[in-house]
Amino acid sequence: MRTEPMRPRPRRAQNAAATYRTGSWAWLLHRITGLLILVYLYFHLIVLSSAIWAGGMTSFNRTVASLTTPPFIFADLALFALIFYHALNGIRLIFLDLGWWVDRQQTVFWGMMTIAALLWISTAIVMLPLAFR
Amino acid sequence: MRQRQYGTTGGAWPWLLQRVSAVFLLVLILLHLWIEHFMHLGAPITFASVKARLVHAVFAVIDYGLLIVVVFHGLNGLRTVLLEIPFLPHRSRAITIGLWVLGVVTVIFGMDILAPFLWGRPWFVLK
Repeated sequence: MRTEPMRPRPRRAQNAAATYRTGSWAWLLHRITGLLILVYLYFHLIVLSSAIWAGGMTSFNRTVASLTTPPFIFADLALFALIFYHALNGIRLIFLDLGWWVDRQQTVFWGMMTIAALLWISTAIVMLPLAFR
Repeated sequence: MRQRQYGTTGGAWPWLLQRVSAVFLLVLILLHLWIEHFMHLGAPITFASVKARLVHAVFAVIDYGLLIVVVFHGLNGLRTVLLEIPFLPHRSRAITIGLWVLGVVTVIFGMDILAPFLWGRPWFVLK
């Protein structure tokens, strides 16, 4: 049996993100929103193409009209939330890669989230009346 | 033992291009959402209205550009996720090739959606 003195785990083997709570949640959410947006992208392309393939402009108009009904306006707002989160957190990641404000990550994160929230609220203010007309 | 580090698993080019495409997407997605949702707020989107818009080259460039950049960014991001799955790194080449094929097919598929607005009919009709 080999006997070796216990060595500390090499630092880089640890999940660096786990030591920064906000950062690891931000990382996880970035992945989840990214994957959901990718899934949406395929739905988006398939729905539009099958609408056109099914019968040209008439069926395209019918499909798009049904996509602008209240349930889909709410779904759009959920999609906007995913996109704004992913975009604004993505800007923070680029700042991080550029070495900007690295020591103030948490402030940058919440600043970005404030911008994302403001964007989403203004979108909702503009779009919600369409669902209730 | 090979050690994997953040940022070195997927290669330098995919890493850089993910950031470059992100910057393009910030502009293209905002334009796309603005055009579709707010430019003619409340007016129904119809085949005719999309066609009238796409006649102007700038809108066609936005749509085709967005299609190519978003497919690259999405699938390159998916590649990063897949390569971090512990039992998959030795399949990285197969994953990369598979995602490139999927990406090219997706872009052609997406261009086919825009074709009827520009040329009156899709390139491929599956019936």
